[in-house]
Amino acid sequence: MATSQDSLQDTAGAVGKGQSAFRDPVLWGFLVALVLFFWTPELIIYMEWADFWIIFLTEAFIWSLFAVAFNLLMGYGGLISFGQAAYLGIGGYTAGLLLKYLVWMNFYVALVAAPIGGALAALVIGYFCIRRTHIYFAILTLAFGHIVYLIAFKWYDFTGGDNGLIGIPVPEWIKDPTFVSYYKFVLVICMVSIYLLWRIVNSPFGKTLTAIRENEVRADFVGINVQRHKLYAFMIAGAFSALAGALIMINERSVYPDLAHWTQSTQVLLMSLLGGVYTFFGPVVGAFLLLTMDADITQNYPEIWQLFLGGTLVLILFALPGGIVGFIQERDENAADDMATRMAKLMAQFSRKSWYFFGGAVSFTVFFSILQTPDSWWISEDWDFELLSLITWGILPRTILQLVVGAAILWWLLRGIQSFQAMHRWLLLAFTVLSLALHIYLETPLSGLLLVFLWAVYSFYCLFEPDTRQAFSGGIEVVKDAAQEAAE
Amino acid sequence: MLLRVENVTMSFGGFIATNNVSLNVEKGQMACIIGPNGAGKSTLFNLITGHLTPTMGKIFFHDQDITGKAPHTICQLGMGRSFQRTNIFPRLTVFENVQVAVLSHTRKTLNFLTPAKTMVQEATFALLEDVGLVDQAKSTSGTLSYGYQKQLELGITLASDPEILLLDEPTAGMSPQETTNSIELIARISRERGLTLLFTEHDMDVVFSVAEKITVLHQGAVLAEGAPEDVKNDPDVQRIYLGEAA
Ligand SMILES: Nc1ncnc2c1ncn2[C@@H]1O[C@H](COP(=O)(O)OP(=O)(O)OP(=O)(O)O)[C@@H](O)[C@H]1O
Ligand SMILES: [Mg+2]
Repeated sequence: MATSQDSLQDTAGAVGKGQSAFRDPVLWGFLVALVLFFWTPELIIYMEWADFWIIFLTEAFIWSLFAVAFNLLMGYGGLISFGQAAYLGIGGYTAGLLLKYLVWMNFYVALVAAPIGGALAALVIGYFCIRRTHIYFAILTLAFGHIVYLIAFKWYDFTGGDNGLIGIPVPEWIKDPTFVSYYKFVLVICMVSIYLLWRIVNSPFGKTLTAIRENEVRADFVGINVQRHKLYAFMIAGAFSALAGALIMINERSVYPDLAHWTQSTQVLLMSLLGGVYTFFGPVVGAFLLLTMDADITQNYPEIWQLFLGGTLVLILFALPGGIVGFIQERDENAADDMATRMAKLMAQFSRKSWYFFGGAVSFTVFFSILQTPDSWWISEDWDFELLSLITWGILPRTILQLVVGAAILWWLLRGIQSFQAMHRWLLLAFTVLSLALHIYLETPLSGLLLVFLWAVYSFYCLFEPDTRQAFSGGIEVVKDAAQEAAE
Repeated sequence: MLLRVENVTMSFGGFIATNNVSLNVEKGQMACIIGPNGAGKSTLFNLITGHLTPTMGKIFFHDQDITGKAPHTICQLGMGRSFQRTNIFPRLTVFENVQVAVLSHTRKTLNFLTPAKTMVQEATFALLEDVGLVDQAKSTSGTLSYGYQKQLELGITLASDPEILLLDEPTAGMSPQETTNSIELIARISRERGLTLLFTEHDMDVVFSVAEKITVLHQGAVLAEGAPEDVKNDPDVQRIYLGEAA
């Protein structure tokens, strides 16, 4: 009986789907992002730093794909893999070896072979790993990952060992000196792949995977073959990671064992944690943020990069356990709350979160301002701290200015709780844009800029949320009512 | 005979938790297993549903040998169970909890690209309606009250359209009012769907109001079996069990 009902239901659903496929806002979001990023090079090509930005974005997209694929396992499947870089390496070497040793090999065939190789490797490795859970799973993935690394490292005749595979032949158009062609190629592949992953996590398979993450025993007792689903998830993640690996290989036209090293695995883990593991786009934000910070710091102070990574991780785990995107989406909702209480909570959250964002933005910029200044006193050996020199280097004025701007915005925000009328809303946005412009003008490091940008996105996001919008427009009465009720 | 347990023994490294237990459940029967704490009731449930593999003995469902089969296989054959401690998907919404079970039952979990949101909605809401959780559909299930979570678990179990329900202390930790409500709910649903019921319970009023057949376990072995009245009057049972409780 239930079955016939379901099939009825599903045919009805299919008709609905056919009509609404183009009303899927996420699809539109992807298309808009694709178009915007596709034409970005044309906009910035005449800028001084165009090459840097294009190379940076290329890398960021590849890592985003890698991080999202990884998070399919960690965030959706609850499977924390410490050896995901193995598939990066497998993808890179699969495509690299094919192109290098088979003269007739078609470039695109090699590119397609990478994810297939990744999926097959994941099938074999996953077969053993998914039989264990939690820490044992993590250790097994780490061990297998290291085996892959060692094979690449030791098998000189085949992989070139630590000399890597160099001079891998690629089509001429990739060698474009402006890097734009390859950027666009990567952009399209990554966008399509990430969209596919989005479909996967929202499909019945994805839902099933979340159920397994939540409660493996129960999942088994509703008739789900847990191990099989885990294995498929492992293979999907492996395939997309391998694709990312092949894209990295093509970018560099060479591949080294380091691509499969476990430090890469921890990097992608950190990206997911930073952005938020229980969100789909969190890892993308994490990838962008980490790579920006990487670009910031490694250039100037490579020796503290690891230290900084560790520090960031600790900060996230304590202050933002849900990651950045998780933090943005978090809603303190209780079905029993009435409208007024819910609004009051929302507003409180909004201001609290804005505090966090500004605290973060200000401290990051201050931190980097100090770091980026030559001979900055707290790193230099001879420790000659003088307030005067800080002023001459422009640190103090800049920081004070940032603090003032930050405080002003905060003040508006806090006022917003009481009276968030249209004008204040625009002022808020103006201030955000202004501070962004200021950051650009002052050439502050990228990370601070990115944080401010994130905060701006968050504000806009809030304005698009029907609940918050309502709270903004009718904010005064609602919040007052709630306060009065609480007082009574 | 729907379910047949034959001379099943389970030993945990020497400790015998289930000792040569045989048990039959007929189609449509409401059977109950009682016994003091640690008698081995949950262990027996775990053996029947495939969570544990017996050291000795065989278990048949529909005359098919299911000894040592994986839980998901046994579930697909038409056996549903709930747990003594609530066992739901805490970070999913109430709707998703049941939806996943329906998707699994209708074998749709290996669909990789269709959005799941709109799938099997009707069936899911019908089940939520049955267990009285339609209003909570959007709440995160982990935040629900204990009684609601038990109801939800029943919904999840029913989603696989089972023939037999194995409920391990469905009213554990409930207030008297909640207990009455949920027993009524369970009885109504199993009557409507013609389900066979095998449950364990500590509350004797509940047991004697619902059960058609009672099996008493003691230290892993069957002590007595039969109609409620017979079991009630069994001297052994009175001595070790009912006497203690009263
Ligand atoms: N996995 C295990 N390993 C070792 N001993 C176990 C295991 N599972 C259960 N036991 C033991 O088996 C005995 C029976 O436990 P079981 O949980 O089946 O009792 P029960 O009748 O369900 O009790 P309760 O009324 O408290 O739920 C207990 O003594 C318990 O300690
Ligand atoms: Mg028990």
